[in-house]
Amino acid sequence: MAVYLPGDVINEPSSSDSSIIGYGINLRGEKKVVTQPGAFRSDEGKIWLSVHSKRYIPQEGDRVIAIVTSKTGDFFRLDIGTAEYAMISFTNFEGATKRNRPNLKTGDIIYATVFDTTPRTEAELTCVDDEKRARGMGQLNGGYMFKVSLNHCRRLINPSCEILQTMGKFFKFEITVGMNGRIWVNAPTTEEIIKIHDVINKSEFITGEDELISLVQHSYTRSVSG
Amino acid sequence: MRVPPLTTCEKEVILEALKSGKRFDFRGLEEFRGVKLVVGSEIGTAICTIGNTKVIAAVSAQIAEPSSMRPHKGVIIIDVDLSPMANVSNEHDRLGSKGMELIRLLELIIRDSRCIDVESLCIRAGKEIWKVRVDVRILDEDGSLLDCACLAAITALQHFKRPNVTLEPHHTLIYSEYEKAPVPLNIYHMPICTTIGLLDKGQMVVIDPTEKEAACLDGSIVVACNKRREVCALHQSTNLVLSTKQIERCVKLAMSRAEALTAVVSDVIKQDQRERSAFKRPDGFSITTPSLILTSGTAAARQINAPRIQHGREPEEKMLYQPSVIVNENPLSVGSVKQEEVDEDALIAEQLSIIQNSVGGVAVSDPQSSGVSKRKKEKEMVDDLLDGICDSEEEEVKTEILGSSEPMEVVLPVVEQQKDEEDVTSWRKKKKKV
Amino acid sequence: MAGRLREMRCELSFLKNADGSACFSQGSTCIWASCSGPGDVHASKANEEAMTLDISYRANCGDNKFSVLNNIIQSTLAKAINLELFPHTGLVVTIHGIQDDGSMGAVSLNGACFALLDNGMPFETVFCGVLIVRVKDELIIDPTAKQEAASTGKVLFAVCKGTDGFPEVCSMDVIGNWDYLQLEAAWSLAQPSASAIFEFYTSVMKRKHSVDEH
Repeated sequence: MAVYLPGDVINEPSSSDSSIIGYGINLRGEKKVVTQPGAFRSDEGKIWLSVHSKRYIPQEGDRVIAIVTSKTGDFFRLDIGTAEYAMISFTNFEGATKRNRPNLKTGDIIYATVFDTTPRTEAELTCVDDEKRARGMGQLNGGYMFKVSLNHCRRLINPSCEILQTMGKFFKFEITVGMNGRIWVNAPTTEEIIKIHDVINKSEFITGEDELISLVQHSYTRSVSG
Repeated sequence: MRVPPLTTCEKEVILEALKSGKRFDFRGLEEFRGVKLVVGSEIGTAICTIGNTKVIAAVSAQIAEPSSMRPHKGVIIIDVDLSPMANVSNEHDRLGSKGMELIRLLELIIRDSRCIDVESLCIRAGKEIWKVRVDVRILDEDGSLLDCACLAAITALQHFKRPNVTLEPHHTLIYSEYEKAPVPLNIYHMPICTTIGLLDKGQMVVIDPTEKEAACLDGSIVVACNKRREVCALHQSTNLVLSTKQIERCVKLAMSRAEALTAVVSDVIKQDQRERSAFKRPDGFSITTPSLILTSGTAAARQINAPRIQHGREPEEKMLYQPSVIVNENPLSVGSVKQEEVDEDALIAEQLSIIQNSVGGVAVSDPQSSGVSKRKKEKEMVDDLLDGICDSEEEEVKTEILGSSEPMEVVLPVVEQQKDEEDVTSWRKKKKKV
Repeated sequence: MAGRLREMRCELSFLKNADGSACFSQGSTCIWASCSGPGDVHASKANEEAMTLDISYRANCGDNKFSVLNNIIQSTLAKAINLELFPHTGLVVTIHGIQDDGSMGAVSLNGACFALLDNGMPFETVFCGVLIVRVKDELIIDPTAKQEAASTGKVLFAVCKGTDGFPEVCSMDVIGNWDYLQLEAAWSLAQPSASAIFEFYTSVMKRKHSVDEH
């Protein structure tokens, strides 16, 4: 697994026939120049770098968890962790009409898709897809939200990752992962929420499966009030 | 930069957990986080870590004039630096209300509680006193900022040693650490601070809250006390009305904490003193991370071998640089003058060394000989520069600077100098024979 | 000519609040560096075309409003990052000197690069710093505090990787009189040091990314 630093040129044999150049690599003339530090990945004509970072940069199509900060006119103003605020129009919710406005207050969180990132304007989000269906998006009620690094989020929802499945053998929970590093968890008791939060945080640097299982077990049996 | 706002769901879950005695880092409501204290290799520095909060304190001393109102008391200055490293909402060089509050509280605890003997800091009443400066830098914020800063400052003050002085009739002599051992500050007691969070209008007490917890609580109270069971400071910044029973309870908790932490500080200082008196250079803040962490790395010290500069190439390269040498203020004449001076000095050095050897062990004062050897080396350098180019140099000079009469004058001295050189060397040879 | 680069140690991502953080030391000189961004910036300082850099080196003692090192770190970062990628945002880089045993400028540059790598944001080339001093006609790389105090001339090279992969000078800070040959000799010593430091960067980042191997 090769790790590249910014300024390097990629000369991997598997990259010669790639048609899609992805995250972290720029094409300068003939050369593929690296602009972000990361591990090289390739898959069926696509090449990209897996980058470790904590600050989110908006990309169209990403699903993120946003915090409502204010209501202005016909829009809600949201915070998604980027430099600029983001906004969502009242009509972009399932079943919303001019009369039936979504009932969101400051401090609530929603799960939405980024669909417009024109530079120097606020990013625009939407809670419905093209057919005006929610598909899991919308307000998240109850539960607890916390922040982790972006690469850990991507790793959690990777189908080959065992973390969530192992946790599922011990705990009963509901989880939503936003691409901006925010994770929302809901469980029947506060104690379980605390344990799940602990496991997700600690599993960021655990590589072995045995380690993972022992971590989850330890958390499950641990008492929360010290 | 903006910090993301606290969401309703976070607040609700944290409050619910606290009310049933649960915390996100598996502590009890009345349990403190672990404290890690390290002192540095420079005297008077200390880093304190409580959970994720990290603070470094450094102490330094200067001689200054006292104020007219307190002519025989030293001065202690406390400065706090909140950097964006600790919290992205901070700005460089800007204190803000949080920083001002921190400075005022630290002054209250360290200065106004009279834990340092300021009269021992006086050198000459009314004229010279020691001004001790404590710099506190906040490196990472996660609640209990005042506790951590206070602990770091106290440890640094205990660790610090000021230079030794003697009073002469007309001046004051300050000794370096190699001449006379530096003197530690006279500290009467160690005030230790504890932040106690309050919930439910003061009914519930949450000890050592993290930043997220502190944002959800109703308020907090800060108690500073020492191991002699004296309360040094009491401060509350939010509008909560507390009963005497609640305050007594908080003070009791703070007392036990102060005893435990005073023992930790004394331990750390004693161990450092032991290491220093055994002449072992302390590691201080050098990183000692366990190799198990994936985010750390080490590279051993290594030799660097530079590619050799080939001397054969020099003449050509010098040709390229000739223009700058010629065009700037008559370098040849300057060079030739230098040669003359250096020759004489080299001569004197030779004579001295001969005398030295013959008499045996005559002490020659250092500055002279080093000056001479320096100039000798300069002369060698200049020699190198002008050596290979002597012949071609002259020709070029002649052709380039047409019209001005200088080059002619310039060339001649060089020739003469060479003659002098030969004379000198021959004279030296004669001397040696003798 | 031979010189010696002191032992280097590094730990990344250890600060909770900063986007990228590094604790870096060469011998006994140790610094903590943090890099946060691209984030929002106050309207008075915002630049419509490019990212605003806010860089500060802060020493242990004394007033920190101004430091000599801010200039060279700012100019190196301005060259290493393509500021026009993120208009109307700001990048905040803070470097705290924890322990000073010589070569502070070089250690700060290396620490800043580590913090930038840990941050993960896009930039053009990695960079590093090498301090070379002249003590009695001998050139010393990475001097300790005593060697630095006894020196007659100092040159701090900020080195970045050129397009062909070899180190090239990005900025230079020279104190004392140097003639051209000596500067060349210093640069020839600095090049292999810079390559060694770049290798260290790669080995640390490789270890950090090894968690993604599955």
